[in-house]
Amino acid sequence: MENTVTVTIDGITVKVKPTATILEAAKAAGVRIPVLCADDKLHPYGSCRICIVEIEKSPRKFTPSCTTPVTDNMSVKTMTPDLAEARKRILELLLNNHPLDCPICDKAGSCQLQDLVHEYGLGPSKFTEKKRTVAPSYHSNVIDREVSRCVLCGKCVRVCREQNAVGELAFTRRGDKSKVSTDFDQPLDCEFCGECVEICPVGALTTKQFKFKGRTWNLERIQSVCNYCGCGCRTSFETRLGRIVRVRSGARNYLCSKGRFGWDAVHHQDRLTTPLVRVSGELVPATWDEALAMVVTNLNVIKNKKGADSIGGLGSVRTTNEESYLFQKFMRTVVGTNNVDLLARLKVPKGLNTVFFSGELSKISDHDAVLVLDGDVGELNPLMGIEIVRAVNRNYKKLVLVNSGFNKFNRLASVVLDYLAPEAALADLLPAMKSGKGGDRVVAAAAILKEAASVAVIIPGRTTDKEFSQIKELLSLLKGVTTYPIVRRSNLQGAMDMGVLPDYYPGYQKVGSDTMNRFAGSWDAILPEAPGLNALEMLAGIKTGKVSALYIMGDDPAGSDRGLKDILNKLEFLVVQDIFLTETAKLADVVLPACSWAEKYGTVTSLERRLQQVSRAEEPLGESKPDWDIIQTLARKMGGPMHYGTPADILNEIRSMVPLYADLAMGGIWARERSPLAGADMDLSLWSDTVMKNEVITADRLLFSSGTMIGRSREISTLCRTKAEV
Amino acid sequence: MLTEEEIKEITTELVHAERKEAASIEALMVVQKRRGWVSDESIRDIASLLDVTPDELDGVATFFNHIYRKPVGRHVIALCDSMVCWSLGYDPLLDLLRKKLGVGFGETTQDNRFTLLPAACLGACDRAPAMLVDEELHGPVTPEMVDGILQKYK
Ligand code: SF4
Ligand code: SF4
Ligand code: SF4
Ligand code: FES
Repeated sequence: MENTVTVTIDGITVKVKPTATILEAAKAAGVRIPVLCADDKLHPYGSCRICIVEIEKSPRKFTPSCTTPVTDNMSVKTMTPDLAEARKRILELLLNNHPLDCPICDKAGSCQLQDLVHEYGLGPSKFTEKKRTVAPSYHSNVIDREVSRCVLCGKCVRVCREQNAVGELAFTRRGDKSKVSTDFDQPLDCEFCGECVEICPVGALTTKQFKFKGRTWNLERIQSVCNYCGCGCRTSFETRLGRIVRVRSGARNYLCSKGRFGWDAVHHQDRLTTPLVRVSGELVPATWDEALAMVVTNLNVIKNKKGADSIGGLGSVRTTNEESYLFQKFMRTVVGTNNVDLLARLKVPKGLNTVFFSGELSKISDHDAVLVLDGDVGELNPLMGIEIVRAVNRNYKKLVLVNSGFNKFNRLASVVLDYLAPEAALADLLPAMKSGKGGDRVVAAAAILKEAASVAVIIPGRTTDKEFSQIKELLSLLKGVTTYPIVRRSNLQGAMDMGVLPDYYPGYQKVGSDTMNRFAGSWDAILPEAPGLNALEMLAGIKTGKVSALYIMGDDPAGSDRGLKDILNKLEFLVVQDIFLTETAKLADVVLPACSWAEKYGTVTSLERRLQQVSRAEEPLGESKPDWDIIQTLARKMGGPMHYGTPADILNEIRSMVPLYADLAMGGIWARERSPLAGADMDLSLWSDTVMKNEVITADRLLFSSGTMIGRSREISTLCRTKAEV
Repeated sequence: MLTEEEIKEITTELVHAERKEAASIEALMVVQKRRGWVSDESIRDIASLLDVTPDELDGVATFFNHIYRKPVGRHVIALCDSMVCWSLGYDPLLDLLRKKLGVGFGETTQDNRFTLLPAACLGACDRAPAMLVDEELHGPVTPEMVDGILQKYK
């Protein structure tokens, strides 16, 4: 290997990069060195000294391994009697000020201090001084600080600053008075990601949500995926006696406030537990058989009277791939119409899945420069925001920011273009790129972008036609471009991939006679020939009488746009399948109770086009059922052949029908080149000047807002100062 | 709110700093020089000027002995509070100062003339026991000298 040095750790020889620390070399050698203040996510710090080692021929007795770089032919011992003794003393000093209230500490069982004391076996302490005590702070939302338990490792301070660029926590005072505090000890006013809680090696930072809910050794862990935005962070549901008590980050090692705390919507008292049917104007509980029979009869009557194309289906970005796939298959094969779409296409970045495909989020920091065209990125796709911070703070990359407001990215950016809209910024940036002319800032921005051999470009979630073409032009002037479209809606990618589109079958296969014959053959059904109505056309069709019935799965148009209530009221028949009695469900003739994403299996596809597994952590509530099961039961009652035992059976069928998914491994990303639409200069988004023009936001910060589910999280609602509706 | 003058002076300091936050101490001193101490409000104002959070700046401010986060008297006495001074006559000196001034550590005299603070350490072990009044170092200080020293500061 080129450019490596050879290091021997406890007799094991490894080759590592010359920039590696002894700690990293030990990891490579498979040797464990105890640590308290070191973390892979953070720059080395060296405050706790527990990671000391002995270096052969060093004049220094002990050396901290987490901050010391290796040198060639270095030989290191990580465990000697002297080291053990020294570590004991360090622990003894730490315990000197530690309350040792393990029996009531939520961290007990996964506390690094507790584990180390157990490992090194301390006896009675020599110190008799009074312990330092600092008053706990319970006055922040979501997070408590038991300051006396703090070992001053600085990880919370550093993660909040280095990784999040929030800087909400800092050490104040000095010596034995130093403590982790917020601005003048005010309650936390931050992103509430809980990353500081997660990284704290002891129980000094804890969440209110988990307080006294269980001991860590009694918890079961189920790996799943967050359902609150397109980033698709891996989560670990922790359950006690079959009920979720905590959610922590999984493989990707980050969760935002919604991902970590917002799961409690699953336990909301308003969850639907039985089907509801409308009897003399009122929605009343019914059995599944009654409710489904009512759906079957009404859909059949309308189909016979007005034709299949008078029925439409609106799918969901909250359901799994399997459910989206079955939903469009149901509409196409059983109902017999291509009228199937996602209203969420109104919120899709222009050019997504045609011109713009997302790169891997973890590779944002590999680029020489990052160009952010929407300053709200951190609120809309928090993990994407974190990766941008990482590019600057960890990899020292340059950031060019277009932002009309002021937020944490302004502090990180090399150049800020503070224009009201991207359109104006691009209008100045483009000439600067081409001729080098313009104001100081655009010229500086252009210089950075031109010099960069690779640029990660964050594409706004919503753009005008003008901006769309400006961005395309800009991209043609840059080298090594990777785009990162902001995708707010969680499984939007999966729903589109699965063909919840009126003019595309699953896998972006255009509805036409060839494809129709192929799908009709495999699905063993007669398929409608013409492309269907899109979501907006369906809504318009209700007004003109062209559309008489809608089947809405997991979407709440009336909740997003009050103006749609009147339109939906004109329908002859409305079926809504959801986990809550949403504004839309309140208008329905039949409401089918779906279970939440924590109560079912399936897959979702993140904005990176990564296929990921969703797993069941709890039994479905009441009589609620997974969406896929509801659809197939309904299909069977209408004479359609759907017999799937598990979502895995559906995924197998998807693999056989959708080339993009054919050999896509779990955790893998489908290659953009394989999409039939790759590179086509077209746009799959919908645009309306009237429908859902304004986002209904349920909180004063976009970060805490994301519709049906988050609006019902108690924890997240405590973070909202005002309930705003825009 | 920072005065225009303060902002100007802080901005001048920024020229020497590679990153704005590197000028934290200078910026705090600019304000303290004019107002005698640094209030929460000033911390907020300076922080936004330096692109750091108030908390981060407060971390710096509270770390340093000579940045005052509470109002102080016209003169500040910093009595060296560490090992060498302890062994060379710190105790009688502290007792005497307490008696003469009628205040303890962290307190200000009624007439607002003196604030007494501990400082660990003044780095003047060769002149232990040492004390700093405003910017003037005194030491070794014997109890007999105290009156004379205090008189110099009105
Ligand atoms: S919750 Fe997140 S943003 Fe808030 S202090 Fe902790 S790490 Fe920082
Ligand atoms: S609160 Fe936890 S993470 Fe923060 S410094 Fe203390 S021990 Fe370390
Ligand atoms: S960034 Fe998105 S996917 Fe990740 S935890 Fe937050 S809402 Fe969930
Ligand atoms: S882990 Fe190395 S000093 Fe803390």
